[in-house]
Amino acid sequence: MNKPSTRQTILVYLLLAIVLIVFLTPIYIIASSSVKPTPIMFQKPPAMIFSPTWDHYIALFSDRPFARFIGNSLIVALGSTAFSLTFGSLAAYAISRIKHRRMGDVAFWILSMRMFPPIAVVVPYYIIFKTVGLLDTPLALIIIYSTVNIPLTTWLMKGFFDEVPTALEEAAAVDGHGLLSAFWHVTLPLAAPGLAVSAVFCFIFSWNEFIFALMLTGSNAQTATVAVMSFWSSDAVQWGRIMAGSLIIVIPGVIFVLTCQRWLVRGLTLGSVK
Amino acid sequence: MKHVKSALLAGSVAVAACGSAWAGEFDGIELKMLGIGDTSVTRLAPIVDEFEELTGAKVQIDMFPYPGLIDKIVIEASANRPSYQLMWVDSPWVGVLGESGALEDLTDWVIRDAEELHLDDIIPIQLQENTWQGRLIAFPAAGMIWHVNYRKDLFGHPDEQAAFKDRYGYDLAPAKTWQQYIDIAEFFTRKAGETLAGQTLEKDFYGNAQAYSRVAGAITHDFFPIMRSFGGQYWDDETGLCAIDREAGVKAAEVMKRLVPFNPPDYLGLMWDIRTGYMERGEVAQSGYWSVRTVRLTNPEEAVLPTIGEAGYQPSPTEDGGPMETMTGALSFGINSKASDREKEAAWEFIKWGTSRDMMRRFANEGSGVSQFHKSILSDPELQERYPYYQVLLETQDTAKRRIFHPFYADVEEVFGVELNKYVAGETDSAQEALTNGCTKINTRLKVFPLEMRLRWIADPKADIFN
Repeated sequence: MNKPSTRQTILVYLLLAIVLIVFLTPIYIIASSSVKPTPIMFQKPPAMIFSPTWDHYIALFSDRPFARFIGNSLIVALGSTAFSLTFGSLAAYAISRIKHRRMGDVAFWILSMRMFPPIAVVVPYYIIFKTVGLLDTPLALIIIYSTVNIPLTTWLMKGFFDEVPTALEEAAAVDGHGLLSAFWHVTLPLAAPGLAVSAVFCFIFSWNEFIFALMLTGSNAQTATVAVMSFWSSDAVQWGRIMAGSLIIVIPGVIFVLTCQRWLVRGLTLGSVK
Repeated sequence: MKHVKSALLAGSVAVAACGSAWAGEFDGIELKMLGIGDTSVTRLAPIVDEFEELTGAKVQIDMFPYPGLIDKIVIEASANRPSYQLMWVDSPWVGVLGESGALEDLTDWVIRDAEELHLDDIIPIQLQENTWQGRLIAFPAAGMIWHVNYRKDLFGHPDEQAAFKDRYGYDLAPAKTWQQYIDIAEFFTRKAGETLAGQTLEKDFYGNAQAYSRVAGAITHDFFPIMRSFGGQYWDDETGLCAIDREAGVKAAEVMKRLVPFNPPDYLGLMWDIRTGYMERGEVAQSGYWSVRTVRLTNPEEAVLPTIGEAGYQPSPTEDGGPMETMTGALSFGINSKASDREKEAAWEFIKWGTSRDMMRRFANEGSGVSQFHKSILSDPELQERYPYYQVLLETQDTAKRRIFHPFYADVEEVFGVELNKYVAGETDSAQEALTNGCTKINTRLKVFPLEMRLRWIADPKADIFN
C-alpha cells in the first residue's frame, strides 16, 4: 500500500477536524455556559472571554439535592442494565437454541414490547405502582426500563448466540457440563462483546429516560434528567444550572461506555462478515 | 436594621398563622407539594419548617419541570390516597384542572376566612384568574401582569429626544399606541458604529425584542396581549368556537410582523428568557413581558442593564392610546381533591400561610421576585421606590383581562404558535390566512363537543367569593 501523500494527509486531518468541531461544539457550549455568568448567557455574539463562575454548580447542589438525584440515576440505570442483561441473555439463548416453528413469533412478541409509546402506558403504570406501593421508588423505574431493555438485549444477544457454534456446547456437555453450566462457562464468555453492546444501550436508555421518570417519581426517586429539567420553570429557564447539570450527567455515561469499550468495538462489528 | 426588619416580619407571619391554626393542630400530617422551580415556590421551600413549628404539619415541596407538570397533576389527582396534597397551578391550567375535578373547590374556605386572608386587599382579577365556573379552585401565590420595559436612560437622552422629534414629529416617550411602539422600535434600531445616546455602538442595537418562537407556543404569549389590546376575544360568545381570526387578531399579527425588522436577527427563536435577556443586557430599547421577571431589571447580579442604564416600566400600548386591557396571569396553589379531609384542612392552612400578605411583604423586603398581588404592597411608597414597576402593576390591574383558561388552551398555544411563527417567517402570505388556518384546526377539535359544553368552557362568571 502506497504511503498517503502530504495533500491526502492534510485532507484527512481537515475532515477529522471538521467532524471534531461538529461533535464537540455542543459539548463546548454546554461546558462554557455552565461557567458563564447569567447576565451574558445569551449575549450575541457569544462571549468567548469572561470571568468564569462556579455559581451554577454551587446552586445546582444547594438548591436541590442533586447528588442524591445522580445516585438515583445510577441505581436505576445500573439496576435495569443488570436485570436486562440477566433475563435478556437467557431469553436470547433460549430463542437461539430451541428449534420450534413458533419461536420466531415469540421473538417478535418480545420485540413488540418496545413498540408501545411511553405516554400510552404511563397512566396504567402509575396506577399499578401506586397500588403496590412502588411509586416514587427506584425499583419502579428499574422494572419499567427493563421492559424496554430486555427485548433489546434479547434481540442483540440472539445474534451473538447464533454465532457461537453449538459444537462447543456439545463438547462442554461431554466434559460434564449441564445446560446452564455450559451457557455460563462457554457460550456467554464468547458472546461477551454482545453483552457489552447491550449493556451500553441499556445503560444509556435508562440513564437518559425522562417521561417515566417525570411521571412516576417524586423527590425520593427523582432522577438527574428530571432534576436538571426542573430548572425550567414558568418564569425562567435557568440555563446556567441546566448546563452545569447536563455536563455532570454526561460523565457517568462516558465512564460506563469507556469501561465497556474494549468489548464494544468487537461487539459492534461481530457478525458483519460471514 | 435589615435583619431586625426581617425578624419582625417573620414574627408577624408567625403571629398571623397562629391566629388561624393552633400550634400542633396538625401534628402527624404530612403534606407534599407538586411544585416547580418558580420564585413563588423557591422562596417558600426553605422556610416550610416554620409552618411545621406553627401547626405541626410537615410540608415537603418537590420541584418538577414546567413542561409535563400539568400532566403529572392530572395523573396524581386521578388516584385515591394521592402522594401530593398541594399543587402548584399556572392559571391557564384552570380549565383542564377544573373540568377534570382535580382541584378542591376553595370558595367556601375563602369566604369563611376572608378577613384573615385580607381578601379586600387582593386584586380581584388575580382571584378571578383562578376560578372555574365561578368557583375558586386555586389561590394566588404570585400575580402576573403583562407590561412593557424600556430603556429609560435612552428615552430621556436629549440627543435622542431631538432626533426622534425631527423624524416622527412628536415627543419621544414610552409608547401609548402600537404605532408609537413601532416608531420607537424603528428609531432605536441601529448598526454597530452608529451613535446611541452620544456613544458609538460596538455592536448592533435593536428597537424591540419580541417572542416569535413557536416552541411551547411562546409567540402566542406576545400575540394574545396585543390581540386583547385591540379588543380581541379568544372565543365566539354564541358558538364557543375560535374567534382569534377576527379583525383584532389580524391587526395584532400585523403589528408583530411590522416589528420583525427591529428585532434581533434570531427573532424566530426568541422565547421566554432568551428574549428577556436582550432587555436584561440592555441591548434593546423596549420589550414586553410578564412581570415575574421584571425584578431582575433592578438587580445588577441578574442583569447588566442596572449597571449601564436604567429600566423604565409602562403599561402595554393600545390601538388608540386608551387604557390597556392588560393581560394578567396568576401562579397559584391548589389542593388535590383526592386528599383526605384532614389533609385538605392542613393544606388550606399552608396556602393561607404561604400566600399571606405578611409573607408576601416579607418576600418583597428580602428582595424576592415574587410578583405581588396585594394592593397595599404594590402601593407601599417604600417598596415602590425599591421596585419602581409596582406602580405599573397597580395601575393596570383595573383593566386587566384573564389569560386563556379553556380546557383546550394547550392546543390553542400549539396551533397558533406554529401558524403565527409561519406568518412572521414569511411562510404564510397574510395574517388572515394564518389565523384562519389556526381557527380551522381548533374548531375541528371543538366541534365534536356539544354547543352547551363549548359555551360552558368559555363562561367566566364573576367568582362566587365576590357575591
